[in-house]
Order: sequence, then C-alpha cells, then structure tokens
Amino acid sequence: MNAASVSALIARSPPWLRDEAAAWLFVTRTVLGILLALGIAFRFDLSSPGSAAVTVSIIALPQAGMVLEKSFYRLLGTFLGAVVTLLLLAGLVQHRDLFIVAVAAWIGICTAAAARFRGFQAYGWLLCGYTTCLIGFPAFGDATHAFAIAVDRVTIVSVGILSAGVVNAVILPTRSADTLVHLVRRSFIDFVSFLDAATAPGGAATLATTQHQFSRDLANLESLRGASLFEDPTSRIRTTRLSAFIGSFMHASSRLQVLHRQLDDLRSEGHGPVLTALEPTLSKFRAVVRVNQSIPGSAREAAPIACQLQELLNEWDERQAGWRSTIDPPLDARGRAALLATGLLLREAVEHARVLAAVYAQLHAPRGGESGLQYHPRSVASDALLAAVGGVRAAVVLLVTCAFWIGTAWPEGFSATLLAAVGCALFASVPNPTLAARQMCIGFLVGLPALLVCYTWVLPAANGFAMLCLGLLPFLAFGAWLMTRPGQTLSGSGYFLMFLTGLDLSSPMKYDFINMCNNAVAQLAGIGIAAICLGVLAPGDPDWRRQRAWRLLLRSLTLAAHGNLTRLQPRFESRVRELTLQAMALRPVGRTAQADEAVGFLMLDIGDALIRWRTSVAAQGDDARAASTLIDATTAAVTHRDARALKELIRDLEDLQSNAVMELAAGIHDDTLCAAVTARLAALRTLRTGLTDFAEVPYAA
Amino acid sequence: MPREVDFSGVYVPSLLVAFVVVLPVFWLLDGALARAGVYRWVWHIDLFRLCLFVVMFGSLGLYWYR
Repeated sequence: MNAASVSALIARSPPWLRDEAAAWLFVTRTVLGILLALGIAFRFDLSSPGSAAVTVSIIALPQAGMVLEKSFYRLLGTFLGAVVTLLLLAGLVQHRDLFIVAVAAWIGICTAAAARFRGFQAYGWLLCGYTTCLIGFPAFGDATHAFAIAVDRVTIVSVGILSAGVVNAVILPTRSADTLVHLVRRSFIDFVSFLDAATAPGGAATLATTQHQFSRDLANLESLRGASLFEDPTSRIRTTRLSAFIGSFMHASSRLQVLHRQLDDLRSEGHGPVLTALEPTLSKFRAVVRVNQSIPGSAREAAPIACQLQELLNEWDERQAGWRSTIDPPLDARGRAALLATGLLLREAVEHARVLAAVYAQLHAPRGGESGLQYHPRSVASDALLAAVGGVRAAVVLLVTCAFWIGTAWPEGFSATLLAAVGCALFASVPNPTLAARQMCIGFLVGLPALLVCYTWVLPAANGFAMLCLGLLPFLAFGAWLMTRPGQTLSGSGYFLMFLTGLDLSSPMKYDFINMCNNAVAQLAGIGIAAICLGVLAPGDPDWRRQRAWRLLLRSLTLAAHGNLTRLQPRFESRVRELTLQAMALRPVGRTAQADEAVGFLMLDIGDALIRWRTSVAAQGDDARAASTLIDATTAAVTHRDARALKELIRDLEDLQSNAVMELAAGIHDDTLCAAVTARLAALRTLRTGLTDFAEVPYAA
Repeated sequence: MPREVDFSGVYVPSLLVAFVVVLPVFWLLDGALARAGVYRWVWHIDLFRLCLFVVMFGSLGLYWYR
C-alpha cells in the first residue's frame, strides 16, 4: 500500500467525512491543475492560456487513472483531428462550402464510430471529429497560418493534459488501483453471499437484483482496470490476472444462477429425495468457500479456498459414480435422471467457483501466475442504426448552424457552431441525451453571472499572476464543487466551459466587454441548439430507443444459436450483460426494475442452455438436424415473444426430456453414453425452465 | 546540438525531441523497476516516477544544450 495514497485513509473514515473529503480533494486538485496550466501557458506566452484551463476542467475526474486515461485519448483525438484538418485544408482551401461539408461528414463519421467504442476511447473519437471544426474554421480564413494554428491547438491541449496529469497523480492522489482492490474484494464477498442465496430455497427475485448488481460491478471492474493501467506499471503487471478474475467472476455467477433455477425447479416438481441426495454436497459447497467459517476479505486470506473446492470436486466424482447405481438413493428413472443432470450443473458451478478462487488468490502475488489465464475482453454491443442516426444528426446540425452563421454574417457564429457540434457529438450515445444537454445548459446559465462578476470586478483588479490566481480561486472552486454533486457533473463542466472560455485569458489581457457578452450569448445559443436538436431530431423518442434495446437483447440469442462454439460462452455472456445494462439505463423513471432485470438474466440461462445443447450434440456427432430444429424454434419463439410457439416448444422439450430419461435408464451402466445423455438432459432441463420462466415474466418494453 | 531540429521544413524545438526520445526509455525503465519490485519500497510512487522522468529528460536536455 502506497503511503501517499489518501484514498485508503478516506476509505477508513466515517461515511459523512468520506464523501465530503473525496469531493474537496477533487476540488483542490482541479483548481491546482487549472492554475498550473494557466501559469505554464502564461510563462511560455502561448496564444490562449484559457484553452489550457478548459482542457484541465474537461479531463477533471475523481481518480488519477481516469484523468490519465481520458488525457491520453484526448491527446490522441486532438492529434489525429489536427492531421485530418490539415489534410482537408490542403485539399479544399479554395472551396468554402465543400470544406464545410467535408468537416460535417468527418464529424458525422467520428460520432458514429464512437458508438463502437466504450468510455474514453469513444470520447477520443468524438474529439477527433470536432477538432476539425475547432482548428479548421479559424484556419480557413487564415490558410497560410493553418499549420501554426494546428500546432498551437495541440500544444495548448498538451499543456493542459500534462498539468492535470501531474497534479492528479502527485498531489493527494485518489488512485483507481485502490478502488479496484476494494471492489475486487467486495465482489468476492458478494459472490459468496450469492452462493448462499442461490443454493438455498427461494429468493429468486433478489437473485436477479444481485445479478444486475454483478453486471454493474463487472462493468466497473473493467473500466477501473483500464484506468489503473495508466497509473503505474505495477497495475500493468497485474492486468492479465485481473482480466481473468473478471471473466471467472462473470462465469461463476452465471453458473450459480443456472444451478439455482434447476434447484428451484426440482423443489416445485416435488423431487424431495433428489434434493436430499444433493444436500450434503450443497452444504459442503457453502462451507468450503469460507476460511474458518468467515468469508475471506482479501486475496491472501482466500488462498486455501481453491484447494478446498478441488477436494470437494474429487469427492463429488466419487459420489456421482454411486448415484448411477439403482439402489442408493432409491429413485425412479425420472428422479435419477434429474439427480444426474442437476449434479452435473452443480459440478460445473463448483468447478467455476474453484477457478474464481484460484485466480483471486493469485492476485495477491506481486507478479507471475499469468500462464494458463485467459484474457477476457468485454464485449462492445451497440445499435448500428442508432449510431448512424447520431452521426447523421451531428453532421446535419453542423451544416444547419454553419448555413445560419454564413447567411446572417454573425460575427460570433463560430462559437455557436462549435458548441452545437460538440453538444450533438458528446451526447449522441448517452442514455438520455436531452437531460444531459439540459444539465449542460444549466451549467452555462450558472456560469454566466460568475463570468460577468469576475470579468467586471475581479480581473481588472488583478495585477500579476498571483493576484489572478487568488481572484479566480473562488470561481474555480465553485465549478469543481458543482462537478462533485451527484447528477450535476455536466452542469459543472458547462459552468467551466462558459466561465473559462468567456474570460478569454491572454497576455496581455484584452478587455472588450461587448465582445465578451456577444461570445457568451453565442455559446448559450450553441448549446441551446444542441439541446433542441437532441430532443427533436430522431432518435428523440425514448420509447423507441428502449424497444430497440430490448429487441437487440432478445436477438442476442442468435449468437448463442449460431456463433462459433470456441469460447462462445464468455462472448455470449458478456454481450447479454452489456445489452441488459444498456436496456436498463433506458428504463423510464419510477418503473420497478425487477421484471426488466429478470428478462436479461433469463436470456443468460436460455443462451447457456442452447450452447450446452449444441456442445453436447457436437460431441455426440449425431442427429444434427433435430438439434438445429430445436435451436431455430427457440430463437424464433424468444425473439418474436410468441406465447403460443413458446408453449408448443415447452411441450416438445418435455417429450425430448422423457426420451432422454428412457435412454439414460437403458444405458446407465455405459460410462460414455451416460455422460453424453446426462449432458444433453442438463441442456434440455435448463432450456425448459428458462423458457417456462420467460413465458411467465411480464414483458419489459 | 542546435536549438531547433529541421524535420523536412518543420522546425521542432530540440527539447521536444528530447522529450519524445526519453519517453520510451523511461517507459522501459519504469516497467523494469516495477517488475523488480523496487516500487514496493517507495513511499510516493508517482512522485518518484515523475522525478525520475524529470531527471532523465533534464539530463538529456542539458547534455544537448551545453
């Protein structure tokens, strides 16, 4: 543990202090970063020190790793955007209209491309788009200096990024790596509690909620892992192991859910003796994920668990051989088949829990242990149509505002155009673009009086850099504080954008009150245009977007039905979890979440069963046609939510299941046949329970 | 070493060249130190790394400018 890291200290403090302390540390770092950037820019006599300060405010985030990651992609985007602008200028400098169309097209392409990426990578693409606008329009009228303008822009962004990076990493840092360690530990504890709930009777409703929490944790773990990579090389050494942990956490919790549904099914069907036969293994399973009867709180303490689970697996194998004998426990053919199939699922759950525990224990070692670990890429699932619509909208908004700017010969048209383009690009892929744009507008409106006060009374009185810093301090601190308020982050960004751009700090300072007011009005108009366009132009209708998200989620089953079988399970699972999170984000306010969550997790089960079925059929190498009929019927019934088809399908599955039971009874003494039929039976059982539950769940969208 | 380097007509300050040259070297050294476990003995890792970079960059800059 790094002694300089205050996040560990804060984590141990009482709750009221924890949030406020974190907020004020953020304020301190942001303000210091802005002042440092201003100082450097003034010292080196750069053209617009204000823009360096804006850069710091844009990449201001609560954790050092996030700041560095966003900086990295901001720099990359700016650089690529600058190169593209110079190329466009070189080709089209004599054709104004063509140039504008080219810039609009580029912004559209980048905005659409951003939807294929996540987090800060997407942000880098957006920046790459509107940097052409930022550099291209001023440089167009002054083509001989285009190169200098582009270099200026890259320089000023670099200064902002370096200042923010240094301040956030060195001065009272809150590190992503620490948060990550905390979250990894909590995930394992949650997993053990989930295991308790899943292997005990009842509790299906809370399980879906826990699973949704897991999906969110998985997404957080993944983004924290990405951010911590930028913090220091010790995180880079651990990253493969962390990725493997995330993957096995996802797997193990899904397997537990499948097991839970089967156990519930057995209970409702009245398979008492089967449950009694399984109970010793289940209770032992609950016991061996603990060390000295308590859940281990850290990777070091978790070391013995993997061995204990391995012992349980060996024990299970012996016991399973006994289950196949017809005397002990005394069961009929159906009961024995249910016991063997559920036992197989239980074995899988134990096996995955063992992998999870092993990877978790390995995280403790400073290095090594990578061999044999799988890197789990998180899937990016996006709606291609929505992405395209977002791109076209950004391009159209730019064209329209440019036409207005040219038609009215508005002197400040540039600011308005720029902000309209930025707003449309930035909010294209957030769940609620209108709300985001409205928040940003609020930030601009709050920033306006602050700007007027500062410009009229504070700035003229500041002689020298030290006095300027003192004068700016309260205004900057307020903006940073606004960013820390939950739900007001965008307002804070808007405030900073309005305030810092409006001040237009430069040396020597040029006072032009009228110009400042005109610019402020243009900025407000620009963000207003963006807000209106996001609300009015498609896809403004949230219902439509939600329906598309749900359809995409249901269609993800085709991946399980037809995808290449190698490593299909992790790919399918991470896709479904991603899509469920997206669909949940579009849920209308005040709606209960449980039904929606349940659909997402039923998709996990149904897809899992399909993959299981395909694998068992592929292993046997026969009746491939019958198998594909079942798969096609399932995919069709689920994607079209056809209640009658579902009912028929469930009836067919029951027939298939009783055939398998008879087959199993006939071949109970043949090892290979028994294993193959048990696997098929497990697939049929999970598919049937999944579909039965799916037919009962109230449809979400 | 001249103060500016001519890259096919574009004049780049040689300090920027020094920065770009030092960056990968620092990156390799940084990784090696982490693998060797040196950072477990450092109180403020990021401050240490920043200073290491400044020392490397400053040395190369001074060497070129002297």
